[in-house]
Amino acid sequence: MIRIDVSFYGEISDRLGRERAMVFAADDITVGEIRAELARQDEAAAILLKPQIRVAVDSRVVPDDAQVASGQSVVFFSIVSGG
Amino acid sequence: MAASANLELGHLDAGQELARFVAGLDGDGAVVSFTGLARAKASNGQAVSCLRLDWHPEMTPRSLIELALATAARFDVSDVRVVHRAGSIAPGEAIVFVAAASAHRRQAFLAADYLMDRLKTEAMFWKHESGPSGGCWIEPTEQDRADRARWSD
Repeated sequence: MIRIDVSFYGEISDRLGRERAMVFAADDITVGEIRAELARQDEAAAILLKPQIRVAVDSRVVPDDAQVASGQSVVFFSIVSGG
Repeated sequence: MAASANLELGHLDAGQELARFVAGLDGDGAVVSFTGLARAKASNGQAVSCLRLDWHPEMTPRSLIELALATAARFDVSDVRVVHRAGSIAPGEAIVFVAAASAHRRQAFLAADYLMDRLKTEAMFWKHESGPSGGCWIEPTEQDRADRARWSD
């Protein structure tokens, strides 16, 4: 069993809120699988399947094949813009 | 070579930041600073009543210091500073302050220019403009991306 805290930043937070906890009946899972599961559970989360939505695990940006362990935080975020 | 960054949740006083930056220098001959202000009009010409910069408690401060350090490593500068607002910002208020110091002016100009180009496209903020007709999220413009592409890394 894996428990993961997921949060959303930028435009996607308008549709998905800021945070939600997810539990998976598995021993390991990838970022890409979390994306797919969110999109399956929630029609509004289909936006997460767009490639411009990036992901960080424990605040480090990672690719979709990155493994996520129980207790880690996953951040999905829209395109950034500072200055 | 030094670099520092600060995420400012309150007021950003660019004049005070510049005075403090200059006071900390040791024999440099050039300081270039830039202050970015919240615009009163959006790119479509509509009035902006508030700019909100959403931020992440770990990723946002780290992105600022990483960009400042990259700038300091790339140019022949003695000091680089960035201060960036987060939260709600009224039109006319300062959003960002950057400064670079060097022995001679060219490297300081380049460093400040480079740092701003990277901040526009890589700093971990999410901008939301709101006005009388509603709100929208703001992404880097094509010009911002072209400006970033001028630098080779």
